[in-house]
Amino acid sequence: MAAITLNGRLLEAEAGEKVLDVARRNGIPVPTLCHHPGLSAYGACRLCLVEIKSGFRPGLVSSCTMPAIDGLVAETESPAVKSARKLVAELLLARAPQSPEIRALAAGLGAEPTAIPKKDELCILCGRCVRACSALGVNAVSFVRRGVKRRVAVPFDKPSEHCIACQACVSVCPTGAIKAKITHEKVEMVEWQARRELQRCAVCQTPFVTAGQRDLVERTVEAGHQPLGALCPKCRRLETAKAYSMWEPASGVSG
Amino acid sequence: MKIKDADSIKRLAESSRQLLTPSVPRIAVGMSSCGLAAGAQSVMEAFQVECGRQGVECRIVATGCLGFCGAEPLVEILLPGKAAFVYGPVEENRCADMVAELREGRLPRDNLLGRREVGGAEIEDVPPLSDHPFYKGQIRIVTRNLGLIDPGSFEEYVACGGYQALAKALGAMSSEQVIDEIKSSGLRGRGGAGFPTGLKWEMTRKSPSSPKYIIMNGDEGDPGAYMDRSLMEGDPHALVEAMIIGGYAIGAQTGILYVRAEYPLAQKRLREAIGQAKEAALLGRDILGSGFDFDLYLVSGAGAFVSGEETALIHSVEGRIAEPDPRPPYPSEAGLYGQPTCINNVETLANVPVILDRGAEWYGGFGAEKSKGTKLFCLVGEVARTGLVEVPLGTPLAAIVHGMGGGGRGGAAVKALQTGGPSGGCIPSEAFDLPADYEALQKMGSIMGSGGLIVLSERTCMVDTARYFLKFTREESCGKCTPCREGIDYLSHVLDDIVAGKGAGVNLDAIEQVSRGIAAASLCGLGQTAPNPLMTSLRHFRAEYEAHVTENRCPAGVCSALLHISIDPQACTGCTACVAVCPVSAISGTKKEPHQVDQSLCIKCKACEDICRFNAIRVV
Repeated sequence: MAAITLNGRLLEAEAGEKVLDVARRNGIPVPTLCHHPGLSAYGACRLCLVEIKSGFRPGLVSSCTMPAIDGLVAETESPAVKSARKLVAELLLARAPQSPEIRALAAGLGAEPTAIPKKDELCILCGRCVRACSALGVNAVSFVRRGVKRRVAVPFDKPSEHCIACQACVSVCPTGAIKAKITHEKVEMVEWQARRELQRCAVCQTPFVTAGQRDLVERTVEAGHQPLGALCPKCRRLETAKAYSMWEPASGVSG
Repeated sequence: MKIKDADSIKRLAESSRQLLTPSVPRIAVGMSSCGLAAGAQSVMEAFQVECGRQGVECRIVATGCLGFCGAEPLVEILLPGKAAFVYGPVEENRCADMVAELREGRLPRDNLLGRREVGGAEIEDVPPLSDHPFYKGQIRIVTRNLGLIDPGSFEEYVACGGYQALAKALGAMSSEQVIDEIKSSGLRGRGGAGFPTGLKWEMTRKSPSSPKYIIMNGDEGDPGAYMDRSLMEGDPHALVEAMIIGGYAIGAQTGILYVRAEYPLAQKRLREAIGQAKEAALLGRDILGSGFDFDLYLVSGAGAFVSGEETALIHSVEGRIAEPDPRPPYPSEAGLYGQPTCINNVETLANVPVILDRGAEWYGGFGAEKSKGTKLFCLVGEVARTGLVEVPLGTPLAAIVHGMGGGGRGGAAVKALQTGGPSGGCIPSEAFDLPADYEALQKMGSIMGSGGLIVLSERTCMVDTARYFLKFTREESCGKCTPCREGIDYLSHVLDDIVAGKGAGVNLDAIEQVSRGIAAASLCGLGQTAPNPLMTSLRHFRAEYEAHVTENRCPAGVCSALLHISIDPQACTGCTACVAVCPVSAISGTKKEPHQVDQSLCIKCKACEDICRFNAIRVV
């Protein structure tokens, strides 16, 4: 079992844990933006910086990627950490001044609007959407260009063939920069130029899933399990319950 | 021909020696990219045509670069039984005369730089090349074969002792012994950071997982730096040999030469070398009967400065976007495809064969206490003699700039030196007694970097220079992390404003603070060092910044938006030379009477200043 020292407190670290995990598990607050517990560590936003004092090369590192090495001594609120986080917040605030989330985050870190010229972006290039799409095995979106011209896009900015309109990107985006228009019969991913019809539930005929989503679920469920992609969540629940109990609804399936 | 053991290498070396010292004159034309750009191709063709036409029997070969870029195209003529004579620049139209002189048994004298001894009779009145100011003080270890051998010839490399270090390593040394030899030589990474090479090899070797990989980082991207290109183009087999030795040392069976796409000739020469080594069975299975298997592949870079960063380079080799990952894990633990990987710079590797050949002790005899051996520097910018120099580490900067470089171009006073390219900083001329080693440069806030030395003269504006480098890193940042992407974009715009005369509200202290923040918070070396040009020039030349910001004045007379060009009516003779040369017709006046500049038209190109013979143009 490894042990690290954070802000003077000796804390145990489990195998494979990062400094951020240990901090959060012990109630030590560390701001993050590109970090998401369900996605791979990325280290891009630089808000979760902590200062290594000893046990590794001293200096600022991103705690979301820094392994909790035995004997590591780090500070989460040192003057160097605070001023670096404040700079990062100021830069993000200048990039996305309209984003309520970024404004709240900046205010929490003592960052105010500065001389840095304002841009009018919502996307702060944290890459959560790219990593979510990749984790699902879809890889419909990726970063393109570099430096200030970097952005998230579908290949060649042509209507995406690969997006399955699952909206995982929407749900992980911290600033609401990705838009999905959902109607009764279809989902439209605005930025990815993907319009997908919703398929109907095999039982109740309610449109509920895109074909790509259904295929993805069927491809990825463990072998031996009955594919349930053709049923809406409600009917799936009832079908599953049926298999385990003698209970049957009195008359068909309704609300 | 397959080479099966160490003895056959020695035999081949023996039988190939006549290629380098043939019984007829050997005319070697420097045909690296630099030579080609200066017209070496037509010089070589002219020699071929003239030798045929005048019936002079010669061996004409294309070689790498002798380093003296300012005197390209460079030609070396080796006369059997005498010496080799180096000429430069050699114009195409001089070739006929030179061949005629050779035919008549006379030594061509025009643009003769010096003689290189090849064990024959000396010609007393021609000084050795090593006495030429450009070469004086240089020690050619890494560049030992550049300009001497035909990089396309496996035999010529072997004739110069090539692949004997490999035979020694595979035949008489264990992997650990090879690592120990490199460790005790004191060799440090020449890519910039100066990490001890032997230690890097050892860490990769000790990493428990396998397979392991060794990668040559040939993604040289600093503006004005071309050390690695010259090595790859001029001595490709040295790198192939070093990679096999490195693979043997760390326990890798696969090596990758990562060469940037902008270096097609380097790629071509390395591909040829790989092919020849394969044919000679120096790559493949059971090399030299040692039981060691090793293969080498060339991967073309994707054209980004950031792909020289180790983790970004790995992504690029894997076919992904070249963007860095935070470390740890280091590539020595988890690199290419998650496996232990050792990445060495081109120049670092070029040192390896010679260290094994002549021993760590011999190598340690060159250089400074903590920086052993030599370093290649590309001496460019406002300097009288430009070129690639190889000097022992610890050589004072003054010896390089004023000695080899001959001081400022056209007699201009040298103001500073930019070391380490866009990641480095400037060093003011007052500090030129500083030794060129890793620690000394770092103490000055600069870095050794890969070895670019850009000379800045009194005609260079420090703000404009910083602006150039920040614009470069702004465009070359991968954009992954916030401080580098947004922060450098901001700094770059501030510098744009200052040189455009819109810097009135700029707070220099605040800029300095943002720079420090970017350096501390960025993910990789690119962002961590990108503010260096700005921070060091602010530190050493703050007055120049203040003149721009508070007085709206560019002391070096470079930033055109801050310049005011007028004509001194006392000095002007009305010769109208400036009227003729002004591209925007901003100058008017009656002949033989003082002229005037229309400020609304003037684009501040200073063409009038260049042409005026009466010193009548005022630039303030």
